[in-house]
Amino acid sequence: MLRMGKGEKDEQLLSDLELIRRCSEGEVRARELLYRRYFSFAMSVAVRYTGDESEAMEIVNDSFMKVLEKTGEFDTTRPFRPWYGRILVNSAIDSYRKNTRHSPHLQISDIETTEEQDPEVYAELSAADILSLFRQLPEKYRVTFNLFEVEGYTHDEIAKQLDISASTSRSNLTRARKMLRELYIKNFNPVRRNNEAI
Amino acid sequence: MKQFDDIFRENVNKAFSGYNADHLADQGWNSLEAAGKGERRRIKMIAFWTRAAVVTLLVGSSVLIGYLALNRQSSVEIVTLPETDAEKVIPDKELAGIESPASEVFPETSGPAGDGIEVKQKEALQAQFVAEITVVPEQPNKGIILLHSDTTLLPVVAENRFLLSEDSVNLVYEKALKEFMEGETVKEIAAEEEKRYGRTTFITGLSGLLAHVKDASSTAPGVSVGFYVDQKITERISLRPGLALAINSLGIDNGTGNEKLAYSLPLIDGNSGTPDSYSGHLNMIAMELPLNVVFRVFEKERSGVYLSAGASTMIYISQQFTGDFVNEYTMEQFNAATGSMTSEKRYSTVTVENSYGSFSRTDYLGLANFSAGYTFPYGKTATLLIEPFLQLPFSDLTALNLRVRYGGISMKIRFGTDAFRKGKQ
Repeated sequence: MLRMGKGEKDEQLLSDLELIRRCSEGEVRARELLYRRYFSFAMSVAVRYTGDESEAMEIVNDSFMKVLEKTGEFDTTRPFRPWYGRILVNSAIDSYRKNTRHSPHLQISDIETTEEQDPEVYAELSAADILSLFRQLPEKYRVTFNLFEVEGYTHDEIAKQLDISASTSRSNLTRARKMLRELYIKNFNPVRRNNEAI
Repeated sequence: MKQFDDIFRENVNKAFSGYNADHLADQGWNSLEAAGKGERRRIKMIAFWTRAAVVTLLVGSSVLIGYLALNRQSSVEIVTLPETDAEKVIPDKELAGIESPASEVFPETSGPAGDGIEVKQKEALQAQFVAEITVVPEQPNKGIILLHSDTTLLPVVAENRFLLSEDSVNLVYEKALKEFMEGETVKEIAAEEEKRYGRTTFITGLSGLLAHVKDASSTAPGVSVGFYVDQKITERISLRPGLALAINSLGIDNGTGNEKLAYSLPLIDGNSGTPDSYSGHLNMIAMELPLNVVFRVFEKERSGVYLSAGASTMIYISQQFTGDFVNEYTMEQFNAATGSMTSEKRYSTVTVENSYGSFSRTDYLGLANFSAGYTFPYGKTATLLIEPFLQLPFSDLTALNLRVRYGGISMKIRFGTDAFRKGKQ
């Protein structure tokens, strides 16, 4: 483990508020400290939308640039993380909109239809496991699933964000869930694997 | 179904709440810095091209105005006197090579003018004037040839391609010309000319300037390129609005006395930081919109002295601040052995680099302008203005809220018919 100098220790102790204040005044070191402090958090949000770390890093950087531009709008009475989280999600949506034209349009019929029964989740899934499932989802389903299930957006809000109707959002979510079940069974369900082996 | 969805959602939340991507942080920060540099380069390029476009516009306008002002003198034509009822116009082409008795030209003319006007061609093709001869049979003594430009009236005597060969006729001509020039017609036309052109002149100029903030001054001389319009209100007073582009670099250190620049760094453990020293510089590109009132103290022909006062609005196209701040921290500790307090001082240097967006700040009428100028003729139609100036702040200026004073000297060229007419008198 790297030994940390006294100055660096002091820097680590700086509050978010102080770092944001310094960022707004143009201090490069403060920007780096804030970036590094929230990098993992930012990646955890972004990678759910992209399924890919390099694309997620682009979203993280875009969102951090927005943070630097909007430090004056930050409500200093509130914590930084949720505010940054919203900017991250908005950046992910922006990225999705840009990529929409180029994304492969995978239909639900492309996925092998399996039994309707609910699969059992035997073990906790790791982030890598979940990402492997997300990567197999069409982007619009992945984005809808994340916005609804993880971020807690309503269908009306999702519709507004993605410029679609609320019913389309519902339909996308239903299909996303269905595909995730099927993909889970296909990839992780030991019962099915065992049966297939037999 | 619901069970799987709930469990899967919980898995997602749990898995990503502890997501660790620190191994990618260096790569991410480096790419962000590279992108930032690219963005700054883009902003610099935009500022550069904005500056280039404005300079091109100003220079282009100046050249156009100069060309128009100079061109007015040479593009002349003969005018027909308005009071003639009957006239005979002989086009230029027909006149070339004519060597005929005056009776052919003026068959119905009697009196001195009609006795023998002989129009001879003198170096006919050398002249550039498009000429027409106007003859007034009923008023032969006013049978004159005039050249007319947009700005003045020029009698044609020797300079023209045509000469009136008969001495007597010339005598009459000169007499008629004299009468005519002293007559009301000239005054009316001159008044009309002044009404049309005389009160507005155009000025373009280049200024060298230095900025001062208390004891600090510019790290390098600034430069300003401007375009102005001089609108006469009275014989001595005129209004002079304009548009100028100023580029300046301002050195800032402890001496500037700007408390807002004090980059205090309070630590989280309660130690208070105080600024020990700082130094930096602010590079600016600003559009200046001056509005000045000019009072002509003395004026003779195209030379003169004037005083000017007014105010300028500053619109900042680009402001970039870079600086190093040294802050001092004092840590107080209780020494149990001696029972006294000891203090330890620590210093921290912070480098700040801040780029303020284009048009992010406007100082409305933020500067008071004072200047005195001396004018003298430059070329045939233009006037050169040498103008030392001083600009004092009405309020805090720039993104750093500095009380900046400017001083320098301007060299301007004035184009316009006001100067031209005066030169001919």
